[in-house]
Amino acid sequence: MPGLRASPPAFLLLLALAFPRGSLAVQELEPGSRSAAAAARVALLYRNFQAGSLGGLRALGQVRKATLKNIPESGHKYYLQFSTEDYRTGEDAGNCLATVLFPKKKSRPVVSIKCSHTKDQKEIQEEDNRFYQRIRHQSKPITANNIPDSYGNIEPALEPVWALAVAGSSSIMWEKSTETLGYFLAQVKSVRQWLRKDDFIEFDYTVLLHEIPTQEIISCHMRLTWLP
Amino acid sequence: METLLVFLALLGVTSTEQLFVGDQVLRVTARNEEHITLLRVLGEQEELQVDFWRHPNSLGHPVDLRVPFPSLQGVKKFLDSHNFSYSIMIEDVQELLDEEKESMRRSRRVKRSSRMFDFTSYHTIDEIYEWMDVLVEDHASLVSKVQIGQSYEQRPLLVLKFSTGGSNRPAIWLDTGIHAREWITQATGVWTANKIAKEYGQDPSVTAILDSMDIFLEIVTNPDGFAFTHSSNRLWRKTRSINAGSRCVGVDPNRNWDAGFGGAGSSSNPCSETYHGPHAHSEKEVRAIVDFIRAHGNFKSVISIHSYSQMLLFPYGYRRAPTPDHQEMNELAKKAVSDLAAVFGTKYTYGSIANTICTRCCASSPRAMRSCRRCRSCRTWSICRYWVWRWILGTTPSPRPSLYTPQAKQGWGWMWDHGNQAVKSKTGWCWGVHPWQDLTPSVHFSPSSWISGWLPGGSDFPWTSACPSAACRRSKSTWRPARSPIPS
Repeated sequence: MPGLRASPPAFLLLLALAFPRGSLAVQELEPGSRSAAAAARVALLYRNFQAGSLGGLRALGQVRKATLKNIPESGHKYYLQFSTEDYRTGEDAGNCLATVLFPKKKSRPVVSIKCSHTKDQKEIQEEDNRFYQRIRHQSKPITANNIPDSYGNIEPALEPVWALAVAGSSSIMWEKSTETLGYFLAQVKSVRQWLRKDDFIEFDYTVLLHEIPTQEIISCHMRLTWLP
Repeated sequence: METLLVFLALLGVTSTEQLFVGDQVLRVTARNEEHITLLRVLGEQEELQVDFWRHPNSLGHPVDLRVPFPSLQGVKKFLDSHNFSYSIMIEDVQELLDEEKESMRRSRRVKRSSRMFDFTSYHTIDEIYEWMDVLVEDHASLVSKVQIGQSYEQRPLLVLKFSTGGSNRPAIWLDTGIHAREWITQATGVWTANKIAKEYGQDPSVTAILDSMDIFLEIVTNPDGFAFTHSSNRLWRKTRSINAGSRCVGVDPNRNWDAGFGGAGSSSNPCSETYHGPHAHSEKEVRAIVDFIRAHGNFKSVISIHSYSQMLLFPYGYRRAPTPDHQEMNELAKKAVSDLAAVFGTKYTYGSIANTICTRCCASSPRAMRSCRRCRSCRTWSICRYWVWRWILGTTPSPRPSLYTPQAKQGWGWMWDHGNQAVKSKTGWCWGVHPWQDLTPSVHFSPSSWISGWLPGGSDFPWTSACPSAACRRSKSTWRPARSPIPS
């Protein structure tokens, strides 16, 4: 019956009215997009810090899938699927699923992240122990400046100290990150070890963070203790 | 007597360098846990001053220790008495150090030949300028050096000109080192210059380019800043010009161009890393380039090379910089030069370059676009990309630019490839194209590095005809940053 048949344009018009553009809550992002990569990095900062492991530090590989959801009154939430690499060697370290919520009110991003791993957990633990032993068996408290140096070099003896800086500064960078401000660790300006009677190792760091897109170099003081 | 004491004191002060004469490095194999413990105990004997190069951590791994000469006999006795097996890795540490010093001295002396220049390490401005002279000497028929001005601190601004002749041929501009701390870019500039000089006559695309076009390459675009990164602050970015009324020094040269000057992504605060300066082209380093390009009048492309966030590009472990990132950068630079040839040589007709790429202004017709010379520059890669393809390939514009058509990808193939590759790249190299109006590389307010390229219109610099004001005003009012995130 002709009366029941809705003409295509009218139907489309109805659809258009039903979903006004502005309230499209969910948006698929290009995996290559800058914002997806930035959100993925925030998720990894959180994980690197939470894991508290030096052997298990990861860097972003590639974003495979990314979705952005605008949650009114709450903020922007990213749903991400990405691959990761071992921070040190660049080898494939497994994939992660993460959500990152950048709250509307200025507070730190809320991250949930779950990752698969290619490295045996035992192996990672052993690596951490090795790092730990290397630091513990110094006869004098470690002090150093400019890691890496201007030429990008890191002395092998100071590798664990650098790794610790990466893990520790991840927490600072995670907390400071917003949807538009991102951070990278540029350099450890100075580091000084505090010897402890117990098993923990303790360091005082001055780290330089590179803030993007403002390009500013931000100096942070960081005091951390670690036990693998 | 007093003079003798003073002399001795001076001697004491000057010879603070530690010497390792007669010290040896021993490689010890620990065969059981007891051995490990014994070695640790050995290390803890302060008076022996044993220095582990490889610590006694676990069985099966060799332990390397440097033993100072006075302790040698004692340590060897200790090792023998406990049935350690060991070998002498280094007979005399000081000898080795002296040799290394001598070879460094030698390599510095031999630097005069461009062939001996170490392209895998970072250099000072003097070393780079010296090397440029050598390059010109070695390839006199192809390369010449042009001074386009002076920096704020009166350092020469030097450009290498690669030309096989002709008179005022269409030209390509490349600059590196506009941001002082991005050392990888100056290093890449050096590498690229060397590559171009070497490959002319060998590589078909480089040869094709140079047979019909000139290449101008400014390696140290911000010499004052660069010198400052060596002498004082490795992370300095801007120029070193004094800002009136402020204690903060320097202007971000890449916010000083006259395109969208003072817009988003730049700061009006002299203390900011992205301070745009008191006015466009206020910086002598920037002004020199603008004047040079305008005076030349026949530039077809301008490419500015930057590096991503990891300015120090440190490898995780100990390695001589610049390492893999540098390699990748060099590969991209090489491909850039050769692919430019493909684009400009085959798909491009000189002289009929449509004027640039407006943003959404003057969008609808080629004529409108041609006459819209003063339209503000693109801010988003995608839009610019569209126009570049459209213009180069001559395809008709669609109402919603399709950025990923096969033809589009093909036409600007390498940019596309590298754009995507860069995003994936673990080194963080990011490439993009920002064709711009006027003489300006992109004002980028994104962290990605860009090949900011643009294709200035025709040969009638400076442009005088204004955009039909109605068109621009209208388009300005309708311009809005794209709503969806633009792929970088």
